[in-house]
Amino acid sequence: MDKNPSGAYAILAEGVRKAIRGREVLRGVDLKVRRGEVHVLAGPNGAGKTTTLRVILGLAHRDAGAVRVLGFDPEGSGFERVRARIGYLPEDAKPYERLTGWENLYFYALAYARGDRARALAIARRGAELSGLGADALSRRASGYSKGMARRLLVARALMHEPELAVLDEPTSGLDVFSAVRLRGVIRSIARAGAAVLVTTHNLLEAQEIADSVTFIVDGRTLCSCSVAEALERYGAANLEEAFVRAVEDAQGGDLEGAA
Amino acid sequence: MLRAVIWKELLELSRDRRTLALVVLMPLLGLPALGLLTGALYHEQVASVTVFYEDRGIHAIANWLASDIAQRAASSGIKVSVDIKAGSPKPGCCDVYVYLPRGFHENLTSISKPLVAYIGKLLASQAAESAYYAARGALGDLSQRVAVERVEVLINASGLEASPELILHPLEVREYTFKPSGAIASPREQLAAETARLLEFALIFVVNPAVVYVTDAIVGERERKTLEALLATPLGARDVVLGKMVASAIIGLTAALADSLGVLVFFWSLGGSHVLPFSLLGLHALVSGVLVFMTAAIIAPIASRSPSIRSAQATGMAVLSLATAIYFAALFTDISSLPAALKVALLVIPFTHAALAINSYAIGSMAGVAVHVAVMTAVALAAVAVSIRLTDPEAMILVKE
Repeated sequence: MDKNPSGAYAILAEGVRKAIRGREVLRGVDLKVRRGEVHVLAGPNGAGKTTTLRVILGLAHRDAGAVRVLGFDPEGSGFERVRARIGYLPEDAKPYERLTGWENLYFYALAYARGDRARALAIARRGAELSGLGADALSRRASGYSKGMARRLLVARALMHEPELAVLDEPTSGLDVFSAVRLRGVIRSIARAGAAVLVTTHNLLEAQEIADSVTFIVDGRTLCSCSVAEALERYGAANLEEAFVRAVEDAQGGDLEGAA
Repeated sequence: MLRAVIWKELLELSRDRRTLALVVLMPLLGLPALGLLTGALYHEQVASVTVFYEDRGIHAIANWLASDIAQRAASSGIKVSVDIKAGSPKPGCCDVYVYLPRGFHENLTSISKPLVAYIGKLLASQAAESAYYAARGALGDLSQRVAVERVEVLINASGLEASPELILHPLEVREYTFKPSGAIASPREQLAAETARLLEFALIFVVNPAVVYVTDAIVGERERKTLEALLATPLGARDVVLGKMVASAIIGLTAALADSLGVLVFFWSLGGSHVLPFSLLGLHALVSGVLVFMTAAIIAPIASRSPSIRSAQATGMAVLSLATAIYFAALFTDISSLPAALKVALLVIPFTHAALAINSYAIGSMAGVAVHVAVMTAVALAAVAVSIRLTDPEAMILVKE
């Protein structure tokens, strides 16, 4: 296990197991995410993607296995400081509806800047720019936002502090085509700038467009955690969607129905 | 870091008109509304009273009785319609009747025969209850008048020098109210002590908004899908819960000030604001503030593990019911006079100390005030410590239904 915070891997997880209310949700998840790459975590509904993200972020306790995020154990003391270097967008997150778009950004900016108002202001301004919502929309309460506007605000909120690790759960869900294209561009650009980006998505064709590496998980187990090229080669597939279907079929003896 | 959470909480609250109204208006208007509404309705009810008589010769006495009943009712702020009729009472005649039976006139002028009068009141009627006391008092006046006349007859017959008043009321009773120290309490101090009981009851209006706010702030954050992302920031679960508790204390202080103002309005409306010492009002505000923080600290760890706002509020209401029971009982019970076992059981309940702090002030025990406020503060700080220790992001996100 790489203990160096400046090592090549932003996330290293090995043999992670986790049971929730007696049901084993993760039964051995391995995940490696390099700095400067976009890594896609793919799996059917209920495969354990969200639980994996929560374990990585220290929001859920693992029962077994080892996890290092930016060189630190998410369950160790002092991880709260590391969180300032991480951006997280949960799948079903919503903004504070009684706050304006700008206030939503500024509140999180204060948290990332650990109370430094000048820095928080700079972070929130970057968020406003990233969201592309414009001053008029940002001065309005988020309760009046469309689903797409709210999602753009939340994506900006997760990325505005230029995190070393961005964890995005279904980031393009609810976005229109133009916003989704724009967001994919943003994701690629932050990876190019050196950040690690972990994305979960059901849209594997979209994943192929942005991903450098991929992890397939089914029933809480990792089937494959490798580069996109290696995944395509391993499953003899033309694209990630085909590779994912074959990976699941292989794992379940050709019965894809069971995975869906 | 905490300031960020507090800033966000207060900003959200300032835009949540319903909760804001509950926090400010309920304590502000609760007691005055309760008092004024009860008072207004009480004084608006009209009771019908009829004086029945059989003997022709006592029409003047019946008239006098009717007039005395009306006068007594008016001085108590009760509305009555008084009627006089010859004959005996009939079913449904009135709310209250006074019946002077046959032979009343003859016995009135005798000194050896008893006078009997009947008084009847309608079942389960508050109006009848109030008018009954006026009629009972008027009959008492009549009895007194007859007694004086009979004593005068006896004095005249005996030829002795005597005063009927001194014969009828030979004992003069002089009353004092004293403090635990033995010093005589002034009328102002007595009124302040009575007021303190009402202030203990008024604490109910402060606790309610605290319970509603804390449960909504913590559980609502999860239900509105804003919690998970927040817990993943450097703020962490402890800062989030602690920030909400501090925000609730600020809100509690607002509620406490509103409650104190409500008490002032209540007394002003009764025309008695002069009996409410400002130091008592200040103590009420202080106790209310500590009480709200303590309630928030007790509720927060329970709320953070509740699966829904409804479930958290149900738990909160259970706590609130306990507090309400204590503050209601404080209106009629002197906790310090209870048997030791009962007293200990009540002292274990932290809410009791809020009532006792105000009560201690009323009896002039500043040491008592300090002890009870200190107990509340200690309970609040212990609850905060437990809350911080128990705060776990997984427990907050993955709540068991």
